[in-house]
Amino acid sequence: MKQKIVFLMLLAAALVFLTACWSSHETDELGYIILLGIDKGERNIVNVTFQLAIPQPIEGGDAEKASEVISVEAPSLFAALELADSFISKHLTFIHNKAIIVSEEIAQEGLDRYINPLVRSREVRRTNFLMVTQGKASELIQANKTLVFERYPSRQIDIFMAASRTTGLLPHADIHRFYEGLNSPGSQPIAALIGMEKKSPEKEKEDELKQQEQNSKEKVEQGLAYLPGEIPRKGGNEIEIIGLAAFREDKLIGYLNGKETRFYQLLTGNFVRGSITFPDPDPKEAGSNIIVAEIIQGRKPEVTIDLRQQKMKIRLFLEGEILSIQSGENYEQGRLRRQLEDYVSRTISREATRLIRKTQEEFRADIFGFGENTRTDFLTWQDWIEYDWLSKYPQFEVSVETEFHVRRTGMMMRTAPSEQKEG
Amino acid sequence: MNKIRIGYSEMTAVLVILIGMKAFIGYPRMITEHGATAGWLLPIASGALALGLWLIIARLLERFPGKPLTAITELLLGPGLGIAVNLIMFCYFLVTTGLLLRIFSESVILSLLPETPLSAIAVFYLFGAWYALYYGVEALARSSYIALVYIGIGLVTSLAALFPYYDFRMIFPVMGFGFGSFLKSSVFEISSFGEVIALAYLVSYFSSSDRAKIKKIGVWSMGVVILLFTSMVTVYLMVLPYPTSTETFVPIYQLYRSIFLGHYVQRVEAVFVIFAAFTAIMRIAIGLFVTLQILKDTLKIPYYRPLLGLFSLLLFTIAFTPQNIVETVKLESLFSMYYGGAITFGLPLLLCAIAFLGGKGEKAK
Amino acid sequence: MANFWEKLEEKLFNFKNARYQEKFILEPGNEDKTEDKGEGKAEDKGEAKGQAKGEGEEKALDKAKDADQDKGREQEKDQAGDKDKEQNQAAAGEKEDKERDADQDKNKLKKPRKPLPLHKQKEKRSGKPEDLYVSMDLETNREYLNKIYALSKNKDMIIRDFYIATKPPLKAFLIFIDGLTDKNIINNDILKSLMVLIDEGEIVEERGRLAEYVMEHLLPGHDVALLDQYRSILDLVNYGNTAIFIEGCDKSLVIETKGWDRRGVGIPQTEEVIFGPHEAFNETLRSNTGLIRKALRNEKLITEIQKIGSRTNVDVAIMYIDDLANPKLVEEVKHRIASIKTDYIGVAGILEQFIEDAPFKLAPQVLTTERPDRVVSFLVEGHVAIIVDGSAQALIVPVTMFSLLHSPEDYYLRVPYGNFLRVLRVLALFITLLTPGLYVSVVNFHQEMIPTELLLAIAAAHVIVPFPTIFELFVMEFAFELIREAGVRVPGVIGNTIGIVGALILGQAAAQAGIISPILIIVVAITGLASFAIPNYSISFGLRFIRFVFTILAAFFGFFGISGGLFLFLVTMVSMKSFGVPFLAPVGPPVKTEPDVVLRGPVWSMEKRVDYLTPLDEIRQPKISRGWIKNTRGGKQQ
Repeated sequence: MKQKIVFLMLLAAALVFLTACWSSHETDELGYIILLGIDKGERNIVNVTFQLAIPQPIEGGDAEKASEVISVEAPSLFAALELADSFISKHLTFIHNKAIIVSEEIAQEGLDRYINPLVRSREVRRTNFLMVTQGKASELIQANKTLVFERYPSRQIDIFMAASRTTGLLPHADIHRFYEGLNSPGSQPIAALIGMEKKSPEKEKEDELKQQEQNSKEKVEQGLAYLPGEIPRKGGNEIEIIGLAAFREDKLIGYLNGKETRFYQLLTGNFVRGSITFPDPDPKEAGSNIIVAEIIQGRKPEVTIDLRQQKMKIRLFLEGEILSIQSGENYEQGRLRRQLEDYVSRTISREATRLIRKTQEEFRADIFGFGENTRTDFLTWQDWIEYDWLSKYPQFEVSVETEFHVRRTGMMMRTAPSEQKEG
Repeated sequence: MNKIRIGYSEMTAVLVILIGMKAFIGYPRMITEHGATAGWLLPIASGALALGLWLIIARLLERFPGKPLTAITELLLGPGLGIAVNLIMFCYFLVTTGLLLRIFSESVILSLLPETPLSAIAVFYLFGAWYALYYGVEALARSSYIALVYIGIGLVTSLAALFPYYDFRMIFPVMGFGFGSFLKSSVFEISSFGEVIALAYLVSYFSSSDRAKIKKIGVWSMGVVILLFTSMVTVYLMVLPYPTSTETFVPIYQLYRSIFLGHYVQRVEAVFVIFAAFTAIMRIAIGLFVTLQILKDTLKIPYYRPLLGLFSLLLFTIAFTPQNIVETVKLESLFSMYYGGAITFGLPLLLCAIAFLGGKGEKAK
Repeated sequence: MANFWEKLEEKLFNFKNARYQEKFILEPGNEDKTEDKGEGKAEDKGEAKGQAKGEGEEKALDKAKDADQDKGREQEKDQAGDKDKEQNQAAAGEKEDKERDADQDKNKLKKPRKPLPLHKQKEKRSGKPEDLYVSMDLETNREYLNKIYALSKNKDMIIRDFYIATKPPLKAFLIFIDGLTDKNIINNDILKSLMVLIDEGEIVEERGRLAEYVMEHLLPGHDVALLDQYRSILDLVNYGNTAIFIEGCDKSLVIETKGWDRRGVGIPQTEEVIFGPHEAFNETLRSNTGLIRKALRNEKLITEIQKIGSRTNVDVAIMYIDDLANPKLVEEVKHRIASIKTDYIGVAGILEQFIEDAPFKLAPQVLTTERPDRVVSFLVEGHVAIIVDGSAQALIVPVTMFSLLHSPEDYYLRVPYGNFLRVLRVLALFITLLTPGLYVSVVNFHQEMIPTELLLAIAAAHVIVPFPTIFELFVMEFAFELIREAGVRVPGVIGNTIGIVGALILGQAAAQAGIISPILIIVVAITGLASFAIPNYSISFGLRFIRFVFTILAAFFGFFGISGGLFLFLVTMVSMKSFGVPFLAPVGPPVKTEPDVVLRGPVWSMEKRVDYLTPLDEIRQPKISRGWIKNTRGGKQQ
């Protein structure tokens, strides 16, 4: 009798388990979305584009078939997901999502609406990158279908975004950074900029002509100041990631090109290293020769904010390694070195100040997060909110000081004069 | 029936899990709700206060050596009122454990198994608790002691891995909502440490030479928990600053999800959730044990094992009473982290007052 | 009631007595003894002693006292064994009774009988031949042995009649079991000595102490016992001793002549080390105890021997160090073994199952080892060793989980190497437990954990497979276990390699056929390899079971199942006890111990014995155990 009771109890307990293996999905059942694009929809509210990774066997496998790009129009993000299930024979999942690309239109209307499901969903993570594109996200992702260097887009995006540390031309912009900027009374959100090689021939011709007319000094200063799609190049991936999209609250307010983004990184202390090309400090040589130096951040920048006088002073601490001296002058040592250092410091300070002014006047948005440094000046949260840094930001007087020291000079300690005989 | 003895370090480990498990669910969020950016100071302040109260309660225990709080209550308040007070404590622990069961199951659904039905997970938890308690409290105490080290390592590793996201400016402004609000919150937040009173009910598990150590066990365990809470809330505020910090359901899970150390060390939260789930099962088992212990002493039953099945079912029922997760969280926060202090600290302090002022007690001076 | 027995005894005995009186050469001093026999039970002798004193028959009295027990028992044995003859000869006995009564009257010695001890009273009525006592009559003994051993059917026993070459020659026979005895000893030392090598004209001086005389003067043999109870004689003869029965002796000489074909000291089969002794136990108890004794040369090392198994009567040796092991532990061990009632325990493994606390738990609570050096190290810590005759393993009690994961090589190597091995083994433990479960839960539930490229590779490999992952895993695990089991039975060198290599090849073929995915083969192979790294054979079995449980839990609940499984596993292990010692002892209840739990400390820092055994002597070595270290604090730093 006792055994019968025990048996029945066990059976009842086992019934709990016998129904299914809930939450269990085989690896080949799932469709792994790597890139997500959000556009304004024509037939419905949003046009959602997915780039799916199709599993390929390790040896062999077709690079063409490694990813599949799908666009679907639907009222919301998750509705798009559901719809897609009916023409894709996989369960779509965001767990391996790498980046979310938002089109300009949607960004200008305000991302508030779309950021909410991204933060709430358990599949989308705050560490996913957030990017804005100037055209349509669906076209961009479609262009990314053929990858030149990798098989799947996940690695591609990761390596791309690591450039924020290796070159400083793009920020490390993920949903986390965006959301914090959105919610914080001390800073504004940003996103990365992504684009594709523009194919419009007239624009191409126009740009080409304009750039050919610049003198070399202007060319040098043009340098890296491109937005995605403008870089004069051939080959490589279809997509380009360079620059930064600035938001005020949740609306897109403007772009920073590659060069400006670099100063943005410097000012926020996220800059690790990158090489900058300068015209030669010597005015005689400035027209034809350049100096290339690799800049490394020595310490995080010091930001001093005086609230009563509305002054802000930023000190940057940079170190450098000389990569190229075209004129052959020995800028590595002595007086010339100090001259070089001064020149670089002044250049950087000037450009940084110019950038801050731009954000103050054009954007009226503190995308750098200087406001966070004012937290220590207030005792309570309410006081801080009352002060309302974000509206006072454009009124601040800003000065940037740079300290630049050359630490290394590559393999050469000096340049021996080359034999040049006229004649 | 053999006299079960639990050692000093094991009891400390049990208490740390009993009190500190909150850090893995709603505590950081609730603290930042009440303290904004001063949230990281609140555990220190309220912890110090709770410690002070505990020392007073320990004095009460010293006056009645060898008697658990149930017996002391009945001595001081007489049988009728005494049993009522004991039953209130019993209900407190029962309800908090039941609500915790619900919250743990929901967080497992959120983090690990999104499509598994809630009941299956709750049954799993209860089965684990039942199994552990069937083997006796010694097994539970020793397991806590052994496991605590690894849980600590897992926690420290995960918090350290978030280093790229630390932003030290986010823990300012210092006083959050203001000094007055800070003080008020400190007083209310002592409820988070309320479970330390469980120690007073477990006095019978110590040998006579250990009884002097009961105070020390309480102090040590609360110290560890204060450290745990403070570090957890500090990191939480640094990574997810104030307004955002009030939004998340399970703060520690959101923190785990943000770990990103390059292409290979990302999305590793499932590993850390193993530690959290382990501690959760232990917390339910310990909570159930304390509940049964109080009931056992109140009703003077010699064994608690027959009650295990019944109380598992009861916990299951309590767990499924709230309608949705938000209601549960609200109930649980208010009950165990805000107003619960009135029960867990208030009642014993009342007893202290009666004992000290009335000069009662075997060792009354 | 007692009177009835007395009278019966008298009657029966008188018949016997008459025959002996004829054959036995009486000497003056022994006359009284024979008369005393006629008196019957020893009960009366007590009273008679009182009277005897009064009457001054002190010599007879002393001899009566000496011969008391012997005679009394002899009488009983005769009576008990002769019940079937009783009826036949009762009538004839009548006649002799009268003669005897006449003798008794002559003697005037009426020795009162002492009450028999209870077991002897019972034996009197049991009637089994094995419970008899040796009779003085050789033929009777031969008949007893015929009956006991069923000699008509049983051709193993050899009975050799011979005459001991004394003057006058004594008729005797010896009995031994062919195959268990060393015939050289029987031939050279027993038969030759007794038949050939006795001095001419050796006269047996003391008639009453015939057996003792032979033992002391005539019989060379290093281990001779004088026994009169058949039960003890049979126990020894069954074990390879030789029993000699001499005419006119009521005791038998049992000489140790063990010699059967046995394996020499071999190499350990499962606990091989590279850097240490290569001796292993063999199946002979005396060899094994010898191996231990030669490493532990201490007079305090005690070997107690008990017999177990009612039909097998196998010796069990319990070894411990007297001034070290906790007496309560020893008591408990002896008590448990002595209380086993069964008919067959031939092997240590069966004994282990009889004495362990929880036979159904998945971890062993007794350590089996086949290395004497390991046993010695445990004995010195205060454990108790149990060796079963016929089994090449020794059991060590009590044991903790950590001892099960130690290998002797950890100690014989230097500290860093030993610790490296330990860490490796701990990792192997976790790998063998958790790998299949982790694989299933990551691949089925938490795909986000795997880097994208790896996940896509796994998915690509899985697309063509028609079965779910959990099914593949079980099939592969099952195949692996099958191959492992089969590999045990394949003879020779190939047996060991078939295990892993076969599984890998099988797996590879299955992967190419599209039945399982290739990554699974690696998972299963790693799991199997790791399980070979666990030093204790029993617990690796237990771990295989537990791994199965983890896999099932993981298949249903993913990582949550694994964490729940770990919890249940921990709770179960923590509550297991091995002879009163908690299974996770130095960690479970935290007690002081020498630095040797997971990692080991240097040999010169092992000062205290493990506390959970409560040994009698706690200090192992003083604080400064390296006397050559100068100028240091405590000798612990170099």
